[in-house]
Amino acid sequence: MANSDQSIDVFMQANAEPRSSWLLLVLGVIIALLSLTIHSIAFPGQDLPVISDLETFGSLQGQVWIFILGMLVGTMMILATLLTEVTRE
Amino acid sequence: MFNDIQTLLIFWAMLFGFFVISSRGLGVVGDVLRPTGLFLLEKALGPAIDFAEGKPGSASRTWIIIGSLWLFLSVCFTFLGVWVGHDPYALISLSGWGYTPSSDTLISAGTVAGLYGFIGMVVIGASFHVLPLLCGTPGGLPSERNGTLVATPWTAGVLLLFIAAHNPDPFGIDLTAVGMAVMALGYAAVLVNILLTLANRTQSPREPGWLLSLAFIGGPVALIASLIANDASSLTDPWLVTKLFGVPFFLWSIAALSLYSAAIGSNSPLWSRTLSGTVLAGLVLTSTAYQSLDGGLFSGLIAQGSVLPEVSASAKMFGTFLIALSLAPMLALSANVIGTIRGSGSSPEITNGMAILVTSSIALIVVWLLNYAFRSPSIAGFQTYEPLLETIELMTLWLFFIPMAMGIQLHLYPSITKRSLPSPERTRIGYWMFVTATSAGLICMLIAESINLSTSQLEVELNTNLPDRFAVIGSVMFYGAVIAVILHTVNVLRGLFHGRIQVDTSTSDTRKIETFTVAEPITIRSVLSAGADVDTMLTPVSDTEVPGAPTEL
Repeated sequence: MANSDQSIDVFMQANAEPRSSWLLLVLGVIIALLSLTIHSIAFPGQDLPVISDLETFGSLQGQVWIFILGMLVGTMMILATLLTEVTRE
Repeated sequence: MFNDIQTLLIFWAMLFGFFVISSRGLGVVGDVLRPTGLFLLEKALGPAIDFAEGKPGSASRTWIIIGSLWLFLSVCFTFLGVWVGHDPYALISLSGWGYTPSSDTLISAGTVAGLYGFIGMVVIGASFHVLPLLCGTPGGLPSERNGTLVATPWTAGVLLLFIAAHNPDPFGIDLTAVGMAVMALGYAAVLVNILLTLANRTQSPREPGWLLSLAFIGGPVALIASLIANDASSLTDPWLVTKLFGVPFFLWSIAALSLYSAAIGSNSPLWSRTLSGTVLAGLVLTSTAYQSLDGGLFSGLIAQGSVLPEVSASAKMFGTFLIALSLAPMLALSANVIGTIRGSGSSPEITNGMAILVTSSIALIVVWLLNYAFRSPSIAGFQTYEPLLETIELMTLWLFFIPMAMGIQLHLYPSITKRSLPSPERTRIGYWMFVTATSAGLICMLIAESINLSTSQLEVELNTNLPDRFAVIGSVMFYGAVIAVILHTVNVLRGLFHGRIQVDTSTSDTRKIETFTVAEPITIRSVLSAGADVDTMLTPVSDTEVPGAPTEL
């Protein structure tokens, strides 16, 4: 049991930050954006399924919301940092 | 009636009186006042004081960390204000929730958060740390617990002003006045703490200690001078609050703290003693006139809806003369900060705030010239350049005040929190993004407004959407500042938990160097203060090995 606990401590906590992990994240974002582009090409004039049906996103007009989305992500980063660091053992 | 030459003379006389009394001491009266002040800060608050623990440095830490959160709010609202400026219906979707802010409202809210939230809190937090060091005050700040506690009323006051920027009188209450009163309450406690630090000193305050002390006392003194020079009814004048938290508090303290940070951060003595003196005397004598004639950055948000009081022609002439003279201390400050950092013999470091101090010192001169060129006509009564003033005020805030405060914060962070910032890379990216985004973005906006102004003056119809394009490009570029501030804030917050622990506070301000390049005749004191020791290799620039290489400085 003790060994199992030690193994959990050793293996289940990722300490390293390889550069390839960032590459994968960037790839993920690019592919997601490409998918959105392909959707508009394949189904011109049609709204995105599900997402467009949500009242909040459907009623948001204008490009500023892209930037506001970034601000919200920033807000969540700051809040998450505060919460996780304060509650971390 | 608001400002006259007489008020300025009384103001200078009172500041001089404060300087003399502080230098000579108050004797027995001082012995009575000191314990009374400490009693007011701690015991008089009763159980409330127990909310704060009072560890050494806790007051400074609290102020600068909360200030970072305000910075994020400030940059977000300023960006939205800038965007809504060229796209008035951008946030129309929020009208369903009852929120329909105009561009001016958003920019005012962002300015409140930036000016009083970020800069004000960083200035107070940094002063709590720096002034005891400059004065050699034993035990540091007299009341850490009170210093920590009063961050709460100040934050509440800024929050009220932030709401007031959207709606100044909800339910018929003048929220601006309430917010200012709450902040003034906190400021009174901060002032007593600062004065006790000065009173308990063991040495004459090292430069720029006097400028920092005068910065804190300057606001209340300006208020009293106005009351003496004018009738008692001026108490109800909303413009008076621009004096309490105005040029002395923001500009003088930023100047003093940037000089301190430049010298300690670059491990190099201040470049010029004459220029330090010019900054002290010049700022006190000239910059006070700024808010005499025009509230500028401090007026639009505090005294919303109020009208600029009539100023006599002689006061206008005298004030404009002083404003023109203020270039001298501005140049002195800029040159002294840059010269000090360059005097360390190496390129300014980004990670400890030196690079951003240099950048904002250069911006100071540009911003001063812009302010002088475009504000002087409006002081003289010509409204020609009024449309440009809002952008110029934004440039003053985002190219000089905020980056300077960020530089001070970055430099003092390790010594205040006893931890280093966890990610130097994030600091570097943040620096480049912030500087590029604010300068390029705001210049694009200024160009857009200049084109609009020119066409309206010439009464010609412009068949192009060039100004709109510049406005859009400017606001998109300004978004880089939002990302930079997110990086900065996350870095500051994470540093509290993940930053490398500084073993000794004295070593956090002292870095050992292996080689020192000697470019000009220099004293051994300067070399030692730059972090050199007996093992440091001195390299004259003439010994540069690469033929034809540029001179290393």
